[in-house]
Amino acid sequence: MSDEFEEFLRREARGLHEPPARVPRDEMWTAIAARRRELAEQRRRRPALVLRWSVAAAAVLAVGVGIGRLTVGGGGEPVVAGGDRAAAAQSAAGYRYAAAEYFDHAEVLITLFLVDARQGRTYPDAADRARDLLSTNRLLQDSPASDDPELKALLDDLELVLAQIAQLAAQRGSGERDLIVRGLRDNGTLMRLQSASPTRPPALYQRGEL
Amino acid sequence: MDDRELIARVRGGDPAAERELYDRHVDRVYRLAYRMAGDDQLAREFTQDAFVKVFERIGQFRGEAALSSWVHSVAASVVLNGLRKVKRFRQRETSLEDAVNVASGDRQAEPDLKARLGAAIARLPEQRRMVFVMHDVEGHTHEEIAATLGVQAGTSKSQLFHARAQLREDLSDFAPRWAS
Repeated sequence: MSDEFEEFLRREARGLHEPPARVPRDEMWTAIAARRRELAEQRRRRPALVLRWSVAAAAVLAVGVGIGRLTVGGGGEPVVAGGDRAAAAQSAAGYRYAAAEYFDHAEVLITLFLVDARQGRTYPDAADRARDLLSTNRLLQDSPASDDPELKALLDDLELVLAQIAQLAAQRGSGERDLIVRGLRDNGTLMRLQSASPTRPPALYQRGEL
Repeated sequence: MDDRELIARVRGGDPAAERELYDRHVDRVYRLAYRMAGDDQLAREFTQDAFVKVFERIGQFRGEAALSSWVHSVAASVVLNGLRKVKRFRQRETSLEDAVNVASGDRQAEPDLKARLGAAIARLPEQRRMVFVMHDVEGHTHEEIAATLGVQAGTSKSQLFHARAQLREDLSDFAPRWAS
């Protein structure tokens, strides 16, 4: 009985999710090469981004020091400035963390949207998910996260895509969906989202997330 | 070119060696990703992400395991994490409909049973499902699975045992069909 069941499992499970005979090697290699180029470029630019965050933190720190001195008089109290420095660093890390988390979710939504679009459908929750993400997107657009021109451009593109997906349910029909897919491909949105990864805090990598 | 030389060349930035490493391992990585994801687009995403990570981390590879084991452990991690993210986000597993619309072997189970099997496999916890797919579907040994998933061979056997038990339980009302 046991052997028969295991034989049945092996026989039938092989027919489930059977990969195509031809592995799309060249197409995937092209995508990998493009992604690696993006990563290299991102790494090259990263010092500038880190510098911007440092400048923002330093500016907050300077204000904190000023306020501290005004508050406690000429002698000053380093405790106040130290507190603001920590707050500034926390704030910068917070924005980076929020952006990284947001990009994670946006990447999954767009990947699933493309998967379903290829099969001529839109999954039921897509519009709701897009609306949720759109709120976060707008918050990030108004935050220091969008001081970086590259991130700002990505957030602006995402705003448009998410708004389109959010309205899809009402419009129905495949025409609008095809337009969104074309826009995503033309703008390389998914690749840019994936390439935003190196700016994510190391903790995200250590947690083993994509 | 053996693995040691290949790794040295990849670390040295030789594009031909990078492609050679990719060609040697991509089929197996893609097959596993496809089996787990059940979708070409997701399988491609997982495969691409896995190789980007392989090339990013090749400097950290110490040669304690075979290169193939290391590549596939990176891929398994990407696939498992990717599936968890998709599951969290989508809150639905591979649907019954997907399970029906699959290729089938010479000796087919009845459509209802096949659909039930597909759905039951999709309900397995990810790591248990990966062990089942790698062993019963792709034909890997427990030692290979253990090296890929970074567990003991005994753990792989245990996961397979539990996976089969769960499938047997889920399909118990079909028992006369496979016993006949």
